[in-house]
Parts: sequence; structure tokens; C-alpha cells
Amino acid sequence: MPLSEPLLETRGLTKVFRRRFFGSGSKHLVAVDNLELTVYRGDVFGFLGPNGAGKSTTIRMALGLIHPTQGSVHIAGRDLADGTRAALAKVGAFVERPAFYPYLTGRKNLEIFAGLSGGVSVRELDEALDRVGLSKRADDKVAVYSHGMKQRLGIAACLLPRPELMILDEPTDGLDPHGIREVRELLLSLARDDGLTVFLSSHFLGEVENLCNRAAIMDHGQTILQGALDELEREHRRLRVETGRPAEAAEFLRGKLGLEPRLVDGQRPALYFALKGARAEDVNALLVQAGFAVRALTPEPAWLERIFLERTTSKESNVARKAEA
Amino acid sequence: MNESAANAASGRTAPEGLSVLGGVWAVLRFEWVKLLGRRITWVPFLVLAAVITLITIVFHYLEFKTTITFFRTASMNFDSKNDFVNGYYMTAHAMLPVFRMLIPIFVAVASGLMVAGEAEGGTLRACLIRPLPRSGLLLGKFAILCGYALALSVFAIALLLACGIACFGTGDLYTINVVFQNGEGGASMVPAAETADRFVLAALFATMGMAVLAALALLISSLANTAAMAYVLTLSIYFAVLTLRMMPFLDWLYPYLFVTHMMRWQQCFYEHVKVGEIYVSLVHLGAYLIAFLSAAMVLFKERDIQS
Ligand SMILES: Nc1ncnc2c1ncn2[C@@H]1O[C@H](COP(=O)(O)OP(=O)(O)OP(=O)(O)O)[C@@H](O)[C@H]1O
Ligand SMILES: [Mg+2]
Repeated sequence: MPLSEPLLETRGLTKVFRRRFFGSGSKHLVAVDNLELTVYRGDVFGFLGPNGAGKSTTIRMALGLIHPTQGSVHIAGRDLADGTRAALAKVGAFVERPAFYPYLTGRKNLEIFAGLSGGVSVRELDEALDRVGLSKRADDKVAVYSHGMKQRLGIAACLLPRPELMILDEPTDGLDPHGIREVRELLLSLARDDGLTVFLSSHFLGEVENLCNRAAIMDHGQTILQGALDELEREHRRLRVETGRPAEAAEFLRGKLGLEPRLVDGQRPALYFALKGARAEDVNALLVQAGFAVRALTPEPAWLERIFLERTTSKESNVARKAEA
Repeated sequence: MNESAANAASGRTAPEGLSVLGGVWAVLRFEWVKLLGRRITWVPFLVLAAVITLITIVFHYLEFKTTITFFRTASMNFDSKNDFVNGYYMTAHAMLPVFRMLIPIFVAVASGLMVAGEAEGGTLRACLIRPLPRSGLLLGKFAILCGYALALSVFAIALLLACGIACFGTGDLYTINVVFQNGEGGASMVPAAETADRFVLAALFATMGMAVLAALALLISSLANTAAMAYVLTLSIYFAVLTLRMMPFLDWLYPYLFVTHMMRWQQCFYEHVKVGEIYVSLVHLGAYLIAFLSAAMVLFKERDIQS
């Protein structure tokens, strides 16, 4: 797929929070640090990062809720800080978690929020409710909704009026496996059938792997990885190969393909290496041709998770570790 | 993305966002639904009804002996309370505490809930990611708040008149000038035929005062993180200024305090309405209103929504 026009762009986006109280160490906290993100039209973009990485802060800036300390956000080529709110007319979004007026019905809530974008017809409202499977409960007060229903109502609110870009902060947060799957399928169908661009933050790496075509991993306010998932996969995903004479096979691969296999001894010694753009089937063919008996060749199952864990640090677990020491 | 989907997406372009006026209109269409849907909106009406019932009962049993003495010093000689206590008398006198204490509290609470309360509940951010200017949102809320203040004022005055006239009938309206802070001694008499105009005028004037308080409350509400913080701050400021207004040695300050002008509706029950003073107060109230509202809009626009 050729790269299309950028729909959401951040350039040098920075947010520094001033600490208000004494005694909490440094005076400033750089929540987002010179962030450069590009989401192209048609993308389903996964935004990953440990707790406190700055995902929600970035999304708040992208929606004009908080003002960047530096840098800019462009939506469909329009600067968010241009004084008008036009850039947001193309966006459906929620941050942290969708919020509603609990004493009003789901339908009334949707009507109110869509009204602030200029209003929608009753038919569009019904369609959105139907799409998230809330038609039957639309006339109940939101106060009696379950968490999953609120989350789905939040997505319905994003669809009204029809956006070009959806920005969702942890859309599957707190949902049961059915709910997660429904949301995932809904987002996929919106992207595939309706041509919506979706930008979502998530803690579920598997979800991002399944759903997204592009992703970024953020840590301490900076992106440590960004790109098309299949390219990232080719670059970073490791292959596990069990062959006869593993040490020789490692030498062979190093010489022939410039790979860097690591031999892990154990009950069943195996080679681990990143493919660096090579294809697994070619590696297999080469090994067999060279007379190595390939017993097993498995792509690493949770490659994204490994990268995530290797390259990011969890603030919370750091605290725990310090407390232990 | 396939071709037809791309066309579908670009074929229906989203609107260009709302102007300030469009935003005000969008807010007006729904803000009252939110207001009326909340139970707490109706509590003030119940409180007013209860207080007014109580006032009527008290007026029924009270003998007004000190009041008769007061009127006598102003050379108005009444033999019993029946000579001056009527529906108009009760309404005018009950308006004093109602507009000084009750309605300001109700307005402060409502405006606290409108912005800070929505920030607390998270719905403010859901509103602000919509393509309408923040100033439009604030102005729409202000308009609804003024409507609410007017509804409370009209309800209070109408109920007072209804109860008062039902129990004590009608007649000329006698007032002691000091009680109504007319800046003069003595007593006043408004003929029965004129009282209707006076009450309408007083209601509008008093509501104008409440609008200024609403603007101040909205300014504080748009900066506070919780509804409670917003209305506690607003009421603290209001009652602090009211306290200053009651300090006799600070009388040089009175003309500059907004509560002085908020209370000016009391002029409407003076024998000869001092039109000049009323204009001065209207100008002051207008200036305060514009100042509070513009400050609210500027500061709210700059504010980071973190909740
Ligand atoms: N209003 C604020 N004042 C001060 N610091 C803040 C504020 N909001 C966020 N932060 C800090 O900014 C950093 C980024 O927070 P943010 O909420 O963006 O993280 P996140 O990636 O969304 O985390 P999570 O996955 O837990 O939702 C955190 O260290 C947080 O403490
Ligand atoms: Mg977050």
C-alpha cells in the first residue's frame, strides 16, 4: 500500500508539567518529550507504552484539551492551534475513559455530544447505537450501564457525527474477552469498510499486533520505536531454529546472510536470531541445501512484547524494586 | 483501504466546526436538559417553597410591635399590624433575605456543577473535544444560568405574592427606608396601584444582580477542579464582600463593591425611585458582568483540562 497523506501529525510535541508541591524531587516533569508521530489516512495505529509513558498526555494535546509546552499537532493538515476548532470536526475521540451524564439516557447523552459537533439525524443516532450493540438499552439511564456498555457508548459517541479519524485511549480497558473481541472487530470493520483512520493507545500488545498496521512504542515521553508493523516485524522478530550441528549452522548463517544467531544450549539447543529483512522460508531452504537438518523453525511468538519489555521501563515496578532494596 | 471506502470517507466531509455563536446555540439546546435532569436543580424550588410557607406563618402570628414603633418615629401612625401588613409588605420584606442569602447560594451551586462539576465527572473533556470554541460553551452555560436565576427569582416573588395576598390581602406598600438601605431615614409609601410595576422592576433588577454573581461563579467554576471547591470559593468571596458592605467604617468602599449594586433593587420600594442611582448601579453591574465573563473566557481558554 502506498503511503497516503498524513492525517495526524505531531511535530516536536512537548509537555512539561510543573510540580506544584515541594519535596517531590525535580521541579519539572517532562511528560511528552519532542514527540514526532505520523498517522496516515487509512492507518490503524497502535500507541503503546508503559504506565506514565505519556500516552494520555499526548492524546489530550492532540485533542486540544491541554496546550503543548512546545511543538504542534496537525490534523488533516490543519494546525490545532490555529484559533479555530475546525481540525477537531473530523475527529471522534475519548481520553482516559468515556464520561457521560449518568442521570440521562444513553440516547440523550449521544444527542448532547453530537449536538456540540453540529447535530446528527435520528437515523444516524440509531445506526451508531446499533453498531455498538446498544439499541435495546439506549433508553436506560447511563447510571445503570455496566462498564462495558459505557465503553461501547463511548465508541458510539465517537462515531457521531461521522469522523475521519478516531482517537481512542485504551478502548478495550476493563472489557471482558467478548467485549474486547467485539470492539476489535468493530474497529476493524470501521477501518476496512468505512475507511476510518484509527489511532488507539493500548496495553494489549497482542491486540495491537492483530489490529494495527502501524505502531509506536513510547517511553518517558519519547518514541523508542515507530513504523509499519510488518516492517518492524521483519526487522525485529526473531526466529528459533533447531538444527543438527547448531554451532556450524550459526557460522553458516553469519557468513551467508549476515545474521547474528545466538546459540542457546539446553535440552534442545537452538539458534535465535532476528531476520533483518530475510524471509524465514529462505533461511530454511539455505540451511537444508547446505546439509543442516532443520528440525524446527518457529517465529518468536511474542516478539512485540519482548521488544516492549526490553526497551521500556515500568515506573511502578521501579518503585517496587527500590522499596525491596 | 479500497477505492470505494476512500470515496465514502472523503465524500462526506465533516462540518467545519462551530463558530462562537453556533457553539452558544448548540449548548443552549442541551444545557437545560442537563440542568433539568439533575435532581439538585429542583431542590432550591423546594427550599424556597418551604421558606415562604414559614414566612407566611410567622407573618400570621407576629404582632409587629417594634415595627409599629419604628413607623411612629417616621410619623406614620398605625394602630395595629392590619394597617400595613399585606401581601405586598410581606413580599417586599421577604425578598431581602431571599435575594441576599438563598438565591446566591443556589446560583453558586448550579454554576459550580456546570463547569467544575463536569470537569470532575469527566464530561467536560468530552464536550471540549467537540469542534466548538470554549468561549461558546461558557457563554451558553452563562445564558442558561441566568435563565435559572430568573426562574428562581420569579418563582420566589410569585409564590410570596400568592401566599401574601391570599393570607393578608392587598393595599399600599409601607416600608422603613433604613431597612431597604435607601440611604435616607423615614418611611415610604407606594400606592397599591403602583406595586405591580415595582415588583416587576425589582425582580428584573435583582436577577441582573444574580447574573453578575453567576458570572463570578462561572469564572471560579471554570478554574476549579471540583464543584465543591467552586461554590465554596464563590460563596466565600460573596459573603466576604457582603461582610465588608456591613462594616460601617468602610462606607467609602461601598460604591465600588458589586454587592452594593446587586442590592440596589431595594430602591424599587422607595417612595420616589431614584432613577439616577439605578442607572449608576446598572452601569456598574454591566461592567462587573463583562469583566467577570471576559476573565472567565480568557482563563478558561488557556486552561489545561487534566481531569
Ligand atoms: N496534570 C498533571 N500534572 C503533573 N503531572 C502529570 C499530569 N498529568 C500527567 N502527568 C504525568 O505525566 C506522565 C504521563 O502521564 P500519562 O497519563 O500521559 O501516561 P499514560 O501513558 O497515559 O499512562 P497510563 O498507561 O497509565 O494511562 C506521568 O508521569 C504523569 O504522572
Ligand atoms: Mg493513560
